[in-house]
Amino acid sequence: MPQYILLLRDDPSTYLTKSPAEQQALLEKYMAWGEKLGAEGRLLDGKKLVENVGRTLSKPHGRLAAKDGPFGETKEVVGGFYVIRADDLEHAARLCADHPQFLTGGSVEIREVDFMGQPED
Amino acid sequence: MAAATPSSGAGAERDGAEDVPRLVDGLFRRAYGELVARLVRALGPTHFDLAEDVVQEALVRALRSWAFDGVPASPLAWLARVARNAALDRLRQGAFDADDGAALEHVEAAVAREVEVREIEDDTLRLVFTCCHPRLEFDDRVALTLKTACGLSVPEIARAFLAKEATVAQRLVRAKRRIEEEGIEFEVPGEREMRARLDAVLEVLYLVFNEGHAAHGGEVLVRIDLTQDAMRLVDELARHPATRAPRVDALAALFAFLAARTPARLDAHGALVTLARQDRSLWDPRLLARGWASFERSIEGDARSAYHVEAAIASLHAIAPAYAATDWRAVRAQYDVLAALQPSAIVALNRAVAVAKCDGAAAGLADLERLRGELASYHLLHATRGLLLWSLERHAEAAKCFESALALPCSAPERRLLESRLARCLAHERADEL
Repeated sequence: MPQYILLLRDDPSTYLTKSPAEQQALLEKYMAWGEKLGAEGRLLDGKKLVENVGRTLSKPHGRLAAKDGPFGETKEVVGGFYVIRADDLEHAARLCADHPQFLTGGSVEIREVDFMGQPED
Repeated sequence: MAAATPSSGAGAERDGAEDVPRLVDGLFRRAYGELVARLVRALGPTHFDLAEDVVQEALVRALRSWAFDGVPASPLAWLARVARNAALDRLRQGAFDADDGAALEHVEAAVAREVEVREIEDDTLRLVFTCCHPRLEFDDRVALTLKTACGLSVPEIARAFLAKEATVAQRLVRAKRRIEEEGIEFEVPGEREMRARLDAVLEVLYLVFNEGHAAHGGEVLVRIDLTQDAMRLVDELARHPATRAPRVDALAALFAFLAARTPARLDAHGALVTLARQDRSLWDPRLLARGWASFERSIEGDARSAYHVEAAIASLHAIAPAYAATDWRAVRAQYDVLAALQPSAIVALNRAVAVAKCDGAAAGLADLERLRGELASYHLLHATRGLLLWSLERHAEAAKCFESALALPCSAPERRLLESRLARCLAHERADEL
């Protein structure tokens, strides 16, 4: 079955104005989403990424250039990712449709893992 | 990652789902109050804002990392550690900028002492008394308590007060400035001091219960966590030798009578059921019994507070076997007493309902006219006017009122009821009972 990587982007500052109870309610929705996919055996991995730490490398004019931090020019950063199993892209999108990320204005980018014709898993 | 591997872990003999630690109801709210209080004690009143910032930061970090990694075995200790480290980071930065190593050492020791990594005890009540400091203005005290000890957000407090968010924010700033300027100790008061602060504390509990009983926004109508907090705390006050008083029992009675109705307030589809249509057999008999017991204790002695009157009104509903059997004249008489004790537009709004039940919708409407200015931004004024106009078959005017109510903040179940009423009113169906 195809695998998809879900990149979760959001603006961390949106959470700062929520009350503790609202934050807890949101967390419970995240956990429920993860548990639902886990119970179906679809959730293969998921990690939060360390905030404000990261580096983008490039090699313009043949010289390695490093840019620190995620990533000044945009407020939205990749906060975490999941790897899931789904039948196809449409199915993966349906599985994400009720992800609580959208409640706070975040986005989810869905990309299929390319196994290059090799057996999956 | 706990959520991804429900079948892994040591608890193979148990169901996978049970291996995932659950969040305790109200955990974030209580953790917030407790950790802010500890940090303020450790750092002194000049660092109130810093304390709030780092605790908020800890909650946001929990939200973002527990979503992926699952809840840690000891969530409160996790939060305490993150908040403490964040506080020390900021202070180190400050001391580095000011080149003041000695001050830093002192502060680090204090923080380590107060915010040791241990489970948090349940001592909300202590915190409530701490925030209700007599040197703060009454409204500021209430706002500070709701924010700090009860973990309500500024918008939630604004709704509870029927105030603008900016006003609430200003009260909080003013309270903290005074704590800072006057060096008010953030300490637990002694018993005599507790008695002096009792009225402010009761007022806070009243507002907390109210926000829980009729949440003014969000998905749910009732926030059980808040009503239960308020009930637990008022019961503690009723038992504590320093704070026992008839008005405390009256407040406990009011809470119990109102909370008893909770199971009847939503139908199977989550739709709001108003008092007029509630199935009274669903009212919680244990809570009703608790209400009557507290009510009886409250009328020992001759003190009569607004809480007594409100409890008396709730008791009139509790004793009526059906809505149609309600003694509305007695209800109106109690609202007259309440209006004399504590004149307010909200009391007048509720009195107008009793007037409409006694003397007809037109009489009730006439009373509501006088409140249209003051309560223009309160959805229940418009909703009530809408119902009265609808019952008089003034459909167009009624629809306008429901539309006005819908334009104001209210919870999702209230919104759905208003939308249904608007549609049925426009279709000239029979009016819902007030």
